[in-house]
Amino acid sequence: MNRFIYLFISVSCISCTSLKRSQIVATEKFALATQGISRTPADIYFRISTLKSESQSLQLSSILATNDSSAESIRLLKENHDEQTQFLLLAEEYSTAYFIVEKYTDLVLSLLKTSYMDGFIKSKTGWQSSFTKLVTRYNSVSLKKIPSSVGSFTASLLQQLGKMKLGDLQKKYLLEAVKTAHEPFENICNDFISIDSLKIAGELASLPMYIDNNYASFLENIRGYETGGNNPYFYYNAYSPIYNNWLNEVREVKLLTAQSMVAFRQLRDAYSELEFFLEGKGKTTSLPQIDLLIERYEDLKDTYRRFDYKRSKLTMSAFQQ
Amino acid sequence: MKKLIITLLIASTLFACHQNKSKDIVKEDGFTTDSNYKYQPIAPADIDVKPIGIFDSTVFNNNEGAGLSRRQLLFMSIDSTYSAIQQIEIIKNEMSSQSSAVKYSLQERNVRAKTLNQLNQLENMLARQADEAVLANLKQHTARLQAINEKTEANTEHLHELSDKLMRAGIIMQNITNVLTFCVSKGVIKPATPIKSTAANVKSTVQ
Repeated sequence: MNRFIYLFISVSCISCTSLKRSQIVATEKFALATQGISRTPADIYFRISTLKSESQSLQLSSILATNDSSAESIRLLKENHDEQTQFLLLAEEYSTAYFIVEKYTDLVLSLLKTSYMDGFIKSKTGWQSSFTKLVTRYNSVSLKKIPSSVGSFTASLLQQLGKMKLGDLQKKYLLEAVKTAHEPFENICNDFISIDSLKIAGELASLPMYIDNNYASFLENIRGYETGGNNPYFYYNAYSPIYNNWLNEVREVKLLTAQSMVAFRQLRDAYSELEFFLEGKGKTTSLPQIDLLIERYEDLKDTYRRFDYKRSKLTMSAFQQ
Repeated sequence: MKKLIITLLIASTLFACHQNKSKDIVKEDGFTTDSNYKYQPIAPADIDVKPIGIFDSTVFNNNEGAGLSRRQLLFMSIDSTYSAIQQIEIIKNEMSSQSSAVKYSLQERNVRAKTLNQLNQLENMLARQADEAVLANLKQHTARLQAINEKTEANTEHLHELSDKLMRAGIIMQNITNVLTFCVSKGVIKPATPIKSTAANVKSTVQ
C-alpha cells in the first residue's frame, strides 16, 4: 500500500514540475508559424480588394471621359470612393478570425520567453480591449462562436502577467492556454479550409475577367480618343505596365491561396500534437506534424521572398528599357 | 493519511471523467473537435460556371427532416452568389467582345461604360452579402439597370444587343434574390442591424 502511495504522490508531483525546454521550443515554433500563416488570409483578401478597386477606378475614367454632366461625374466619383471603402471594410471583416488568432498567439508567446513577455506587458491594456472587440465582431457573424471561457482565461492570465515569474506562469497557464483555444482554433482553421476557400475560389474565378472587362472598357474609350485624331501613345505607355502588374498580382494571389490552404490544414492537424506534447503524454521524441507545419510555413515565406525578388527584377528591367 | 489518499483518488477520478467528456465530440453538422478528422467540403472549392435555374425552395423543405444544416445553406448562398457573379462577368465579356466590331458614338460609349459600372457595383454588392440589406440594395441596383435599359432602347443605334444583355442580368438578379431571400428566412444571412440604419433603410429592407 505504501508503495502505491509513493507512486501516486510522485506522479502527482511530476505533473507540477516546470516544462521541459523541448516543450517550450516546440510551442515557440508552433506559435511563430501560426502567427505567420494567420496573416495570409488578410493579405489575400486585401490583394483581391485592391485589384478590384483599382480596375474599377480605371473603368470609371471611361464614364468621366464621355460624360456631359459634371454633377453626375462627381456623384460617380463619390460612389467609387464608397466602393473602395467597402472593399477595405469587407477585407477587414473577413480577416477578423485571423486577427484573433494572431493576437492570441502574442499572448501564448509571452509565456515562453522574457523578451516576448516584456514586449507584451507594455501593450497589455490595448491588447485586452482590441481582443475583446475582435471576438465580439467575430461572434456576431460567425456560425461557430468563440466561447466565453477564452475571454475569462485571457483576463485571468493578463492579471498575473508581470506579477508571477515566467517559470510559474508557464506551469500554471501554458497548457491551459493551448487547451482553451483548441476548439475555436480548429473552427477558424476549418472555416478557412471550407467557407473562405469557397469565397476566395469564387473571387479568383471571376477576377481575371473582371479585370479584363474593366480594362477593355478603358481601351474602348482610348480607341474613341484615337478616332478623334488624337495620339493615345502616352495612355498605352502608362497603363500597359499597370495591366501587366495586375496579371502578376492575380498569379500571386492564386499561389498564395493554394499554399495557405495547405498551411491551414497543417495548422489544424498539428495542434493536437502540440497539446499532447505539452501534457507530457507518451514518450514523444519526434513531432512529425509540427515539423511538417514548419516546412509549410517556410514554403509560404519562400513564396513571399520570390514575389519580392521578381518585383525587384521587373522594376530593374523597366529602368533598363 | 487515509483522508489524503481518498481525496487524491476522488480528485484523479473526477479529472479522468472530465478528460473523457471533452474528447472528440462530433457535432451534428459534421464538424468535430477531433484533430485527426479530415474535413470533406460539401461544396467543391473550385467553382465552375453553373447556371442557376428558377429557385425551388421545396427541395430544402423536403430535406429538412434529413438534417439539412445551416452550414450547407451557407455553402449554397456563397455558391449561388459567385455563380451569379460569374454569369454577370460573362455578360460583360460579351459586351467587351462586341466593341471591336462596332464604332460607337461618344454617347453610346458613355452608356456602355455606365452599364459596366452598374454591373461592377452589383457584383461587389453580392460579394459582400454580410446582411439582409443586400436584398434592398439588389432591388435598387436592378432598378438602375432597368433605367439604363430604357435609355438604350430610346435613343441609340448600336445598343440593341446591350438591351438583351441587361434583360439577362435582370433574370440573374431575380434568381439570386430568391436564393438570398430564402437564406435570410432560414437565418443563414443575418438581418441588417437597425442600430446603424436609418428608419427609411430598415423599412426598405423589410418591404
